[in-house]
Amino acid sequence: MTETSSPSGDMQVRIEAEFAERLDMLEECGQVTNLARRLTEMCLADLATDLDLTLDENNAAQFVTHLAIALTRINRGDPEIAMSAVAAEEIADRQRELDAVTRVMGDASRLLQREVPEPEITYMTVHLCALVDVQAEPAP
Amino acid sequence: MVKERLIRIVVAGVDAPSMAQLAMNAGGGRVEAAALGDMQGARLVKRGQADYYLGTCWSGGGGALAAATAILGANRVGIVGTPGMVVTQDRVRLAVGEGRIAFGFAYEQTTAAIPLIISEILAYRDSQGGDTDD
Repeated sequence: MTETSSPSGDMQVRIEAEFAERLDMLEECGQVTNLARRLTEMCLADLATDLDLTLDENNAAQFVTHLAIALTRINRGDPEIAMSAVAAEEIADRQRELDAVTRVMGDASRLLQREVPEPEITYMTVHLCALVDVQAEPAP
Repeated sequence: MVKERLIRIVVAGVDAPSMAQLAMNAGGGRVEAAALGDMQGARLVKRGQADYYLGTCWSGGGGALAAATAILGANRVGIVGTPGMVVTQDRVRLAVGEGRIAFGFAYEQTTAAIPLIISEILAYRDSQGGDTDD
């Protein structure tokens, strides 16, 4: 994970502010652990910096929620979720995004002290690809 | 003259506008549906400005209903499908009959799940005497 004085650290401050309401809500009702929340914020900052993404509540709410819930599943040691062949097919030619998610989940797994299962990596990558595609569209 | 009130459904998640259209198609003129953000949609249900919430995510395993669970409470929401769990009429009927008002499923199950959920909601409403504007 990057230090808070790095570009990714500056990004993390913006990410924390942008998604505070959502992550507060999920943490307060016990759906998301504090560790998973902090990892979500760090991973989002890393991915946004790495892939030059602008993440906000309008475009990234689903991804943020998915990431926080997924990291909580791993943090709590829940049973591994099933892989979706449809999701796997969606990312078949998205190596850049898959590599980015795999890298940040490598960092996260060290802090979680658990491996991040392949289906989780796949679902995170599908969400990330949707974001990347939207931001690649020309402005109207 | 008693007029039946439309059942108001909010949909959130992956490809929500298409989900909303599917819900309206399945409702046969008895359902209105709108695609919204998950927190906004769940708050409308909480305030009684919408009747049901449908949510999808790719895994069906939490993100589909995370905001609805936080806002409506765990006893009002139900996951009815995931990539490892087929959406069945029995499961949907049980969830609707238990009074659950938010339903989550995997995006790839959308075309099967939405008509089933709408059908069971309509049947449940009919069994309860329906909704009327009078």
